[in-house]
Amino acid sequence: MSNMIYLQSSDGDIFETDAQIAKCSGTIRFMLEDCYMGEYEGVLIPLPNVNSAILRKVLKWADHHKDDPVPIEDDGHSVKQVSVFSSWDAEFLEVDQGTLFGLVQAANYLDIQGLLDVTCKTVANKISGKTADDIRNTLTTNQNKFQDFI
Amino acid sequence: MRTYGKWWEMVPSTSPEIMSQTIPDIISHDFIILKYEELVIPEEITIFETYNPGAVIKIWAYTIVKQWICLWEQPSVRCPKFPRMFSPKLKKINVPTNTIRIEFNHSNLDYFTEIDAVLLTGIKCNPAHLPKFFSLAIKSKERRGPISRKLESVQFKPVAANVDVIIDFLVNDFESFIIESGMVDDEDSAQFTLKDLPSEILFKICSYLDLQSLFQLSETCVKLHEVAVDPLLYTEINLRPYWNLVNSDLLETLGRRCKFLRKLDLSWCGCCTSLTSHDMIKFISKCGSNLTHIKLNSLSILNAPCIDIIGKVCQSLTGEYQISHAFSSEMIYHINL
Repeated sequence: MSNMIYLQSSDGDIFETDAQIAKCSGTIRFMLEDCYMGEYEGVLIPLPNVNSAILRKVLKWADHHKDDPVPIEDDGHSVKQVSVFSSWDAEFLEVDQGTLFGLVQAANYLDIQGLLDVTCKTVANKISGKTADDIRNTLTTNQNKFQDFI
Repeated sequence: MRTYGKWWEMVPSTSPEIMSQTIPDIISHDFIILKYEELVIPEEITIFETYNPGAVIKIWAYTIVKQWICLWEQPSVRCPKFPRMFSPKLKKINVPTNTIRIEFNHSNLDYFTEIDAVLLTGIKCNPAHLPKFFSLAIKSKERRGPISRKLESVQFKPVAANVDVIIDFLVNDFESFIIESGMVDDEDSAQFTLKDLPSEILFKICSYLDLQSLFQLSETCVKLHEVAVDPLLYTEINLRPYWNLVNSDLLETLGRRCKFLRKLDLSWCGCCTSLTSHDMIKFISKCGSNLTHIKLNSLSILNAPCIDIIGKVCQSLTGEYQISHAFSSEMIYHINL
């Protein structure tokens, strides 16, 4: 049985998707189960904080990971090892910084723990080993311009 | 060297590394420090590995300007079991040294390694030239922020004559001036940057960072500084990978951030650096009360007062207390008491 639902991005585009895939997002899952009492065939969910480009990426990620086991709650003792994730994720996250930060925010808003973990790790990998100046120049914009100006 | 293979990492008594994200790619298990009589600018180091070669992974030199420099590093590899003379290609430095430190990783060995000699070849240094190195070192140590560097290069020397004019400009016209000058670009600011992320996300990102990156990040801007100095990021501190950088200043800075410190690894620190046992006593008495795990292996500055203060302050020390290889005769006496 496939339950199709519709997601509307901030710029108005509508994405048709399987409810099962969309449910990897805690935000959408709660909305479907609480607001629509489980009868959500064909409903339209507006996502005003996510734009089309980002939402497309998120759905692609969710589709790839739909068969993953349900993540166990982080007990605070899990080993925090930077740069351990699947090659598919690594390739998936080879995007420009704007998209990466967009994905972080979308994962946070949509409450997708797995995506939030890998994107945050990717950002951490970008930071680690850099000097303060490098971080300032590469990860926060407008700085270059400001320095040119002075 | 008594350790070899991986078995001692797999036994049940093994303890997980503290703050595992700071562990570097090339992991050292052990080290030896060799002192030579003559000061030389190192050209070649030959290690006579007579039994089970292949464990040497890093070579450091302690130069006369009181700085450790890594001359060579490489992950541990499997080697044929024949004695060999190992002389890796060293990084060129031009400061004299007479202290060499060799670090080992034994995980690829089937049995213990043995080294007969370490030959240090180099250009002998004329004592008359020594002061030159010190003055160079002092210059490189002076730290300046980007703004002061910039101001120096443009030789900006403000004269406070027309203060009123400047204040008037700042209050009334500064904003429009910025916009007109094109410094604020709408397209650019529409793009997400690191600073736009909410604090809890930044915190999560920070929790994946090693200590050095965390310190660098805290120097980038006010907002990131606030996140990166959050005491909750400093509940586990592993200073062993940074043994060559730990000094009084660093420990004092950490002392301000480690309000909830629970696990501390200070192994290998204090080796020819400016760290003193007094710094350690200060740090422990400030941050030690919540400690459950502490590792002080081969900590050269450890003395009786340090042990004393750990006993007094660290009341919740229940997990682990390692102090191997850190003994002096005075201390053994003290522990026996």
